[in-house]
Amino acid sequence: MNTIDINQPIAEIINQHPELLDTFINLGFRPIANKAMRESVGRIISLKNGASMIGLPLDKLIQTLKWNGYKVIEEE
Amino acid sequence: MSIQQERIDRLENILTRLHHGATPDSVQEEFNEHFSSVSAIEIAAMEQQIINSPGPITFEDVLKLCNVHAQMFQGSVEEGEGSDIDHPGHPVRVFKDENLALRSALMRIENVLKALEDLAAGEEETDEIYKGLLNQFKLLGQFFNHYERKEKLFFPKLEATGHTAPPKVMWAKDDEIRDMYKNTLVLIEQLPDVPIAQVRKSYEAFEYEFSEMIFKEEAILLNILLEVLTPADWHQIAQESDAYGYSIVQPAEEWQPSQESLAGKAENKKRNTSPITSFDEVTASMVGEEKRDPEVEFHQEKQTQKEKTSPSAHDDSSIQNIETKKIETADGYITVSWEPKADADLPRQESDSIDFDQKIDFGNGLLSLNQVKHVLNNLPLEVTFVDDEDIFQYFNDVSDPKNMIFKRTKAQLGRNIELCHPPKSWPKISRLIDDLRHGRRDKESMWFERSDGIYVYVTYAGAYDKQGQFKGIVESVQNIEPFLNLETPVKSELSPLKDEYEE
Repeated sequence: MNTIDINQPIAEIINQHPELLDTFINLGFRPIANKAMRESVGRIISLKNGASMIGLPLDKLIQTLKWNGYKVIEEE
Repeated sequence: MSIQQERIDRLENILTRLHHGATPDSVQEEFNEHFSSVSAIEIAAMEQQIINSPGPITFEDVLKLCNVHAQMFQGSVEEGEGSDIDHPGHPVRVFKDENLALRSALMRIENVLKALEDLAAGEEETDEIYKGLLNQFKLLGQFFNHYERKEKLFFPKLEATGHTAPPKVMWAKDDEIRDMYKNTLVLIEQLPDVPIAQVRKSYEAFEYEFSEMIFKEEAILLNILLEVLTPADWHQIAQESDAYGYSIVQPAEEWQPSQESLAGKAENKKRNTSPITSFDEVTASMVGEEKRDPEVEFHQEKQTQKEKTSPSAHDDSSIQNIETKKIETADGYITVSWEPKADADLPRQESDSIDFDQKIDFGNGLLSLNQVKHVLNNLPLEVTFVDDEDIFQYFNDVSDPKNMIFKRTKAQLGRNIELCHPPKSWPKISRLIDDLRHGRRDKESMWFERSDGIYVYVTYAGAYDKQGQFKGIVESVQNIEPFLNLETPVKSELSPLKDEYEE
């Protein structure tokens, strides 16, 4: 239930876990604060790719999710 | 075998099948057949009895039955109306979705706590993990909105139909849970300076009560509400919900009941729902306690007294309840019920018989009702009026409900003031009202700083006529934070308008 697959599109992850929006914004995903961006770009870009686009180290993303109690799926 | 015992056996049988993996669909028909004439209150009491008796049935099984129970309402709805309560914007659906999100948060917190407990001392990542735990626990704190909507929007509807005990009992429990949450939050904020075992202990006590409450909401409260509330009631709740906010999830769409359903009755109004006014077994099941709380009992009696003597909004019948009579025949029961008409409650405001532009003499000048409205709505204060029978009658229209210091919505109008307050603050308020009523004091002010930065200043003033008769209470609320932190000691010039600002 609290499992995040980083290969899923960001928009899908946020649909299932609206509470993650703030967490992602704080990690640097500023564009997705805008709903239009979420629904367009957010549907195409996976969390994993999005992280590399904003220069967020993958293990920082994964650790933050784990420290918030989520399980993380990394493999495609 | 008595009908009651037959029913309990049948219910236990259904629950056992669900326990052993039967699908809700497989028991739906049988449930509909035998329990469509039984009130949610009775079913709740039976479920409680079954859970408490030895056997494999747990409250999770009862939760499965809840869906069967709710589905029964769906079945009685006309073709083409669709499953209203499943609509993403329907208050029932929103309420349940919130509970799902809150439960998820509980599980995440459990994951982090466990990780913390398994952690060896001195590992570098511990700082970030405390942040994660605090983040999740604060997120969980959004349940305050969920409880507030329950108390301010759902409960008044129950009270209006005479079911006064369950809200009171549940509200007291809500208060307890909020306190337990605050205690745990304080500890979590102090990590790592407090032992993790202490946090665990505090959290576990809170989590137990919190989860139990979710169960009670879904197994008992929602079903009672579905029996008692009409689509029009749900529509009003949907419209006033935004003011209080939501927990973690928001309604995805706005829900509009169809024209026919708005004119219709509650989903299962034909049932025999005699009003619950006493702290009996069923209300005990709402909090899962065996013993009676003497303070709550006192309030029950007081409340029923007030309802019986208050002519307020009703004609001659001083009892606000729905009256039902059950007549036993050879094969079954005929239930006859009478309820006052919805619009018999308030005197019709015929706007064409009262001229809102007519000047009225107020002593120190003439004002029309429209002008009075302007005055009331432009005061830098939130004003409410409670009449001499303790009924909340009015609040001024000063800002968006979301921005009000003390949130009020129309749903609370007509409610006895006691029911507008959490049970634990009632003794003090009750004392104040009594003092004002008997002239022991004619005014009282209180102030406190709130966590959102608002410095609340409240004044309660007794209203008295020329003969000194008590006529009610005027409450005024303002935020005095700006007064405590004035930018300059004097401002005697006009503030510049937008287009006067220099680039």
